[in-house]
Amino acid sequence: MTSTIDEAAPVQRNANRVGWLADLGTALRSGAVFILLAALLFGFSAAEPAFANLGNLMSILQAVAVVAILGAGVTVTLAVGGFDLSIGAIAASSVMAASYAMIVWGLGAIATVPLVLAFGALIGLVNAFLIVRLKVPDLLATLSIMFLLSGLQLIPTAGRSISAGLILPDGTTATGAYDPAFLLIGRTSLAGIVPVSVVLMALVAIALFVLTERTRIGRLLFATGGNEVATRLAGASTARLKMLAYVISGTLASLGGIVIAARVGRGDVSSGGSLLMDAVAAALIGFAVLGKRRPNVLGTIVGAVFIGVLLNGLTMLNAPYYTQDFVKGAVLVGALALTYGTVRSPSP
Amino acid sequence: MSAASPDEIGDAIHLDGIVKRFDGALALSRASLRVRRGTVHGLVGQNGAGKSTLIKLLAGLHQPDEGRIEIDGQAYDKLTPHRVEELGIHFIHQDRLLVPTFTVGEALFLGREPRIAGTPFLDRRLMHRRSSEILDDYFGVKLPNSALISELSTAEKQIVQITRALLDQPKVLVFDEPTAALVRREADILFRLIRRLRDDGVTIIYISHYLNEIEELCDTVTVLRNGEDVATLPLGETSAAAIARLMVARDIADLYPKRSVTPGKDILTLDRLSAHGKYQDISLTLRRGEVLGLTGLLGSGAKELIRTLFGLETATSGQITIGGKPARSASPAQAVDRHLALVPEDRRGNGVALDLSVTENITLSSLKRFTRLGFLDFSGERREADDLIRRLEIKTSGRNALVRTLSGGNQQKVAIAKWLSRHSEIYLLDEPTVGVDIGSKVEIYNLIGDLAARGAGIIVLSSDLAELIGITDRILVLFRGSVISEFVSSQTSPDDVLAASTGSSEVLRHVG
Repeated sequence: MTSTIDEAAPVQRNANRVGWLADLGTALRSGAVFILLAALLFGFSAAEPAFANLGNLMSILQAVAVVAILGAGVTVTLAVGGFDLSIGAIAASSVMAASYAMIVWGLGAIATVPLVLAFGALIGLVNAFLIVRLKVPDLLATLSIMFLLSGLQLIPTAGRSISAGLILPDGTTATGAYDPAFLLIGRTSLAGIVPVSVVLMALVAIALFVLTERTRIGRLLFATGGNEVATRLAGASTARLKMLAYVISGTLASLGGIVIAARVGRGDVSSGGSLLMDAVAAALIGFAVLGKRRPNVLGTIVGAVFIGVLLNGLTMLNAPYYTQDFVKGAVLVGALALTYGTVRSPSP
Repeated sequence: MSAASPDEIGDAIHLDGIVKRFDGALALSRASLRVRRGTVHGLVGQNGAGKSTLIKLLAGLHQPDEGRIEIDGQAYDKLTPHRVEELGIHFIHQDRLLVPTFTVGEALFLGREPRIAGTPFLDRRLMHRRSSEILDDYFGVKLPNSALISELSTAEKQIVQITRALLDQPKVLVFDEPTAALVRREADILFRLIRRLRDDGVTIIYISHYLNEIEELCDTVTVLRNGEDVATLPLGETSAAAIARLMVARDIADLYPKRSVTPGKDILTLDRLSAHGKYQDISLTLRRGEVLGLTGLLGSGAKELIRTLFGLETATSGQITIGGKPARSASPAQAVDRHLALVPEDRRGNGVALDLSVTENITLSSLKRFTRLGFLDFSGERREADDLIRRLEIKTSGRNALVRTLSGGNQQKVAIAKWLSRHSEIYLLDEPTVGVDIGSKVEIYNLIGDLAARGAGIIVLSSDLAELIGITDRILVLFRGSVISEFVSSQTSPDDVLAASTGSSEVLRHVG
């Protein structure tokens, strides 16, 4: 094909001329989040030496653990081209479910944890059924499940928060209490340094990273999101892949709920308010990490940590609490601009 | 054409010495296009030659870096899509999608809904009258104004697009690859329409990969190559072969490279296969090394037959046998396991994942081979991708490039490479060269020949009859769900096959 080579020639020459500039631009773009993160860490430590001590850094990680765990789930549903709006509600109702299981049913940690995870997985299955089988659009299906769950969690206790000594709708008093072993998940640190919730976050991050980036299933998840029909025609079961994604998302959301319950030690009807937004923000910021421009687990974790560092540092510098959502929003806008705004205009 | 001299007739469009760069890369270098009023002007060139850029400049979607744009003798500096439409220039795009949830009426009048005088209410009656006038007059079809766009066929959607333009009484109509998704009969209707519009004084710019259409339809043709216009010729003085030479700057000695392969054992047999309301009693045998052509009009059942073989539809009765074993597939996954491969017609929609890399697309169906204990074998994948990129001469900046960045022809090669990687043995190719430039077409024909030579069995479904005759050994023609005739490719002509596919008695009814 001599003609195509001729055609390519002017492009090639040009590429050489601006090549190094373009390379530098690409490198800056893919490293931007890391560079900014380093700058934040440096800046905050300079302004407030207490920022850099190990205890504070761990408390930052502990603060973002739940968001990072939920964000990993969001990443998987984004990978298959879906979206799970119900994760915040799943996490919140998992807090209630865990509290109810221990305080009303008197179950221990060993029974409660698997039960609540199974609850999350089940909601994931329901989402998947609506989306895959009944062909309800993902946003609508998960939105309605979110609605349903935030109502459902109020019914068993007639709208009361759950703590020891709860008076049930039938007039009796609950006799159970939070299992001390369960509270360890939210309140202890390994070797007195690394909080258990941070360890959980790390385990989830590693497992999901390996699943999405290193296994056949992960590749097929992204392929389903890339072009569902082409993936099905290539012989993969896209229905099962999507189901898997929503089950993972639901299970991780309930794990997030368990961590919250273990931290708070009671079933609060209003817990988990901003979780959905924060987790989605982390996943979207993740698009910009390493210039991937697609959902990726590493990026999501970095995105969650980035916001955590920023909020913690600003709090130390006495920024008022009510600026937090504004800061998160600004970071998200910046990250999305970085992801999409610098895309080269399509070639003719 | 009238006897008036060219100067009196004047130019409807004159693009002069246009230069356009994207990110520094030269897309157009001093390209000119001069279209005289009331003519059908062909615009041809390989993918990347600059056709679409030139047309986008005319549409006001891009601004030229250098050069002049004159419309009706008047120079325009900054064209916007809105201004262009005001000037009476309309574009019929191959893939400009209509809003699928709109009704025909809503789509036709989108943005210029007539109102009942003095009120804010839509004048539905007027809308209905004007649209049905045009539909009836120009196309002889009735499309209910309340039908949803998503329920229409490709040809009907195109009719809606054209009608929308005609409602504005356009001066210039630009057709961008209008026949890519049409069967021959539908294309004939379009050609009659274009001739009639020309006779009514509308200027037509006609962009197509199909040189026979250019030859048949156009008064003049401009050939673009590497961002320049290399020639503008009256059709009376040139031929499709000469145009093709100008496009590629080399001889296409043999557009349809023919390989002589002695067919081997039977690889696929259909015995009286029927699907209620789609096709009936289809029996055929495909042998290793054989390229079997399949053609038929929309609704002939040919597409449905292919879809059944690949497990996308179910047959109601009859037998499918692969390698001696009964093999009705209930899902694509089963079909893939039986070494079937499907290259679908809608390449961008169904054939490749545009935002995945070349490598990820190539190994999509053979991923099991590149998996150890569930983990991906990246180096194996890289080797496979590099190997297939080389073998199929896929032009890409690298194996990690997104498929979106490839040309249509190279995207198609990626779609085929996926099945080579899967070691498929029965290839079902649905319109394999639609929207592919002529150079890549020849490469795809060569590839089909290579596959046959390696012992694969191939079924090609195509409505380009010259292509079908050129690359297949046998052709089966389907008509209303039955095999109506069979041809030996080397002993037939497009006219014979066309006559068979329209059903000889039907020809009179449709054309007459």
